[in-house]
Amino acid sequence: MGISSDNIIKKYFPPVILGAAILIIWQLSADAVNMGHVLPGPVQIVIRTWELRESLFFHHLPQTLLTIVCGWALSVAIGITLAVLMHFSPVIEAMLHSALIITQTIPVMCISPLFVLWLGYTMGARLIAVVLSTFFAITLNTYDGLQGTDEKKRELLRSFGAGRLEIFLKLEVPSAFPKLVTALKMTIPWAVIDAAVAEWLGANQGLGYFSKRMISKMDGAAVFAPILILSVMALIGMAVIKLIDKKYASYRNEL
Amino acid sequence: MLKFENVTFTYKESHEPIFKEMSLRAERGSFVSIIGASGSGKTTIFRLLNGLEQPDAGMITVDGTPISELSHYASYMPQQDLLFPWLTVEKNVMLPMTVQKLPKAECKKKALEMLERVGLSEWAGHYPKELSGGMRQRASFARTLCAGSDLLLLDEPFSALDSITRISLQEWLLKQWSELNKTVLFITHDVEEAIFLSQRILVLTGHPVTGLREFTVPLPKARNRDMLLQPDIAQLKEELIALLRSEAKE
Repeated sequence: MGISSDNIIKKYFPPVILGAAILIIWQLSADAVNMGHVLPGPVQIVIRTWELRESLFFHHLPQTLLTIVCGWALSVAIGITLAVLMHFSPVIEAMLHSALIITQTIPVMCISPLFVLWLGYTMGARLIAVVLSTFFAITLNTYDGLQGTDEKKRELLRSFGAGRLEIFLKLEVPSAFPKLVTALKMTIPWAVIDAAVAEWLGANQGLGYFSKRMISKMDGAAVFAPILILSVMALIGMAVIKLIDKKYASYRNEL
Repeated sequence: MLKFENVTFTYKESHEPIFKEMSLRAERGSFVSIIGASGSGKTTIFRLLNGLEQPDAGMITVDGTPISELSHYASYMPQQDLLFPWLTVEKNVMLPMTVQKLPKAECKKKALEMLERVGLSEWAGHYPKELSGGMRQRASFARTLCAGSDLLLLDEPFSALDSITRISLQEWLLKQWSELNKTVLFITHDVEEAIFLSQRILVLTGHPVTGLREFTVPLPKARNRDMLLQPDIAQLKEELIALLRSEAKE
C-alpha cells in the first residue's frame, strides 16, 4: 500500500507541480499587464467560460464534437483499410507509399480554404481537413504493426494448417493492434485541433468559429474559452484511449 | 514410419545445397534425436517436414504417403514457446484445433485435458506472462499435443531454460512419451540430453549433408539419470562429442 502511494506521488506530483507553476505565473503576468482583452489570466478564462456556457456547450460544442468524431472515425476506417491493402499487396504498397507521404507535406491550414471553396461551409469540407491530418499516422502505424508480425509465430500457425486469412485474423491483427492504439492516441489531439482550425477557416458554427468571432470583438477571455474546452476534450479522448490500451493492448512489450 | 528418401534441398539465397540425397527414417512410436553442429541443417529438416520449404529432389513420406498429400501429420513445437500474449493459456492450447475448425466445445474439452496432463489446469484462464519459463514450455507442449498428430517435432524446446528446469522437463517429457505412444523427432545441441531421451541419435555430417550417422542408445525405455554414468553410455557420449567436434572444424 505504501509503495503504491509512493508510486502515485512520484508519477503525478511533478506534472501537477509544473502545471500549477505555469498557471500561477500566467495569472500573475496577466494581473501585472492588466489588459484582460489581450492577456486574460486563467481565472478570467474560467469565469468567461461559465458566462458563455449556454452558447459554448449547447450551440457550438456539439457541432465541433460531431466534426471530431465523424472525421476521426472516417480517418480510422480509411487508415486501417489502406494499411490492410498495402499489407496484402506489395503493388498497392509501392503505389500508395509516395502518394501518402505527399499528402503529409500539405499544410492543412493552407489547403482548407480550398475545401470551403469546393464544398462551401459544410461538414464535408471540415471532415476532409480532419481526415487529411490524421489518417496517415493510422495507416503507417497499422501497416508497421501488420508487417512486423513475428515470422516464427506465422510459421507456427502455418504448421497448424492455417491459411492466409486465418493468419491475418488470428495473428497479424492482434499483433498490429497495439500500434493502432498508439496511432489513435497520437491522432486524437490532431483531430481536435484540425476540427477547430477547419471551423476557424470556414464554418458558421463550432468552437473554432466562436473563437474567431471573439477575436473580432477583442474579447481575449472568450477566445481562450473554446481553447479550454478543446483541450479538456482532447485530454478526455486520450484518457479513454489509454484505458483501452491498458485493457486490450497491454501485451505490446511481449510481441 | 517417417522417411526422407534422397532429399536434396537448397535455400533460395544460397548456391550450395544444404542436403544432398540425404535419407533418414523414424519408426512409429520411437524417440529419435537429431544433433549436429550449428548451421548443419537440423531445423531445416523440420521446415521441410512442416511444408515450410519444398525439397529440390527426393521424397518425404509418412507411412508411405508423400507429405504433400497429407494434412495434420506432424505437430511442431518450436525452440521458443511462441505463446500468443493476447490469449489465455487455454486459448493458446486450443489454437491448433480452432485452426482445424473443430467444434468449440470439443476444443475446450481437449485443451483442458491436455493442460491437466501437463499440470497447468489451474492456469487455464491466466495469460502467458504469468507463467514461468518451464510452465510456458509445458503449455507449448500441450498446444503441440492438441494439434492431434502422432508425429511430434520438438525443436530444442528446453534450450532457453535454466539447467534445473531443463532436467526436470527432460524427465517429464520422457514420461509423457512413454504414456502417449507418439513418434518424437527431437532436435538438440546437448549430447547428454539426446542420450537421456532417445532410442536413436542421428548426427548430421558433411557439407552438404549427405547422410546421417546413426547411433543406438543402449538404454531401456524406462530409464533414469543414473544410467548416464554407465561406461558404455560415457563412451557413446565421448564418441558423439568427438564427431561433433570434427564436423565443426570442417
